[in-house]
Amino acid sequence: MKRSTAGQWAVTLVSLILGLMLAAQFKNVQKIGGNVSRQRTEELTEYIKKLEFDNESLSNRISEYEAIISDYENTSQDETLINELTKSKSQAGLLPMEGPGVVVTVDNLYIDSWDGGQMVQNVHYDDLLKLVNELNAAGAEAIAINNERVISTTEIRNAGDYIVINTNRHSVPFEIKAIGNPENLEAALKLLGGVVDNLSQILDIRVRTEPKISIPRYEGTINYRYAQPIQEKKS
Amino acid sequence: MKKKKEIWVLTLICILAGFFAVRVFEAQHELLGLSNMLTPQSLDQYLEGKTLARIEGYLKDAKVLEERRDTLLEEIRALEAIIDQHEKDVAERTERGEQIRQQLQSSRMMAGMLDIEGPGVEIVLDDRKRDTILDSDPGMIGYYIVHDSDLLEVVNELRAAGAEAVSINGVRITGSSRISCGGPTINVGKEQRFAPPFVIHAIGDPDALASYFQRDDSIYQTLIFWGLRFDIKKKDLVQIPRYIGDIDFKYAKPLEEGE
Repeated sequence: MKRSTAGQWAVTLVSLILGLMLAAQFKNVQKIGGNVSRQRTEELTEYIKKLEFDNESLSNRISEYEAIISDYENTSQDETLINELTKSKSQAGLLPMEGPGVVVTVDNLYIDSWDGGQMVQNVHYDDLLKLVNELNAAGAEAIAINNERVISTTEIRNAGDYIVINTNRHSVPFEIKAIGNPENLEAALKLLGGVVDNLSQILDIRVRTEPKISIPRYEGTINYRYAQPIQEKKS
Repeated sequence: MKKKKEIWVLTLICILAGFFAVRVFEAQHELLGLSNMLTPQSLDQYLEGKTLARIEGYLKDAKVLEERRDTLLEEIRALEAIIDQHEKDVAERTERGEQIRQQLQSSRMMAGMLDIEGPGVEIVLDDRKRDTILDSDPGMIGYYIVHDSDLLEVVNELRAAGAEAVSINGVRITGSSRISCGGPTINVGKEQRFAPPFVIHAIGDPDALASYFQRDDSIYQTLIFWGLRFDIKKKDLVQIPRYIGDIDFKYAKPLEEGE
């Protein structure tokens, strides 16, 4: 009786210690697996890449400016001013553009259903949004959807049976024109598993390259009511 | 006989206890030596140390690059002042010169070539926080993270709500910006890549911009449903930098206007 009590005490004590050890061990394992610093490394490398890219672009901008200044000093000043205007208007989408590229037509898809009727797959705004984004990723220099020039404020939204682009209503068929390297643009769109590959399952979509496409200027006007250029430079 | 048996049991338990004691000690104190390095705990600590050293190196690199950027920006401002003076001179001399100068200024504004400020909103988008749901169902992870298409939708809705300018993590979004997926990061603009959280700034009517996301068909509802972070704050003053990047037209040529 006495002996067995002593043994029970011993076992209890050892078990207790064992439990404590287990707890400590478990806590330790949990603490590991924090890969915060690794995430931080990733963030930093991306930030460094961004800075390198920015600096390269800024250097390019400097040489561009130097060329403009040299034009002002050495050639016709009036002409230089007009050239500057043409360039910034092109960048803003305020001039019609011409060049090689691709034309993408997007239309509803009509599917014959089992009962002899027809099912319609409609074009949604996000289909156009994705196509435009993909064309931009492939280096498109100017894009228009149904002759609506895509600029920095261009929205593509559903509104009932219409799709609103640059505040104007449009409906199918949609024709997206993009100027750029025709092969690159076409290849990016037709990539296996790419945007056109996916959309062609649900829409009637065709891509063709063209040696010469003309894209109209942005027809609207933007009144900047909220945005102001920052005048003072921070020092 | 009974006593002997108990001793055996105790011995076994003691061995186990000893084993755990060593494990715990090993895990808590980083000891040098090959055998310790091979245990997963200390290997992790070893890598952690290396990573910290690397982070320090990166921070230094970043600082150098930041200084270089600031110098370049100063140079650019100086050159812009010279160009501006030339433009003024020409404008004064020529007929319609002032008109051309104004057109120049407004097209630069539209092209995103100016640093701008004004009232607007700040949106912070982030992946869902690690929580119990996330851990128990790894197959659903796609629903809990920010995708390039989500950013595209947010920018599109801001434009629809009348935003005059938009930036993502300090990168000005223009008509030819792309927002695409690059593994765990998202490419914004031409080359810049970002990991979440995404901070989106937009200049425009703060009320109109913020309330647009309350619509039933807004991307906001979807992302909130999946538990992602989507904070919108109205701001009296938002600053959006100019587009930094090359815009060269290799294929597109401007056509003269008929005016």
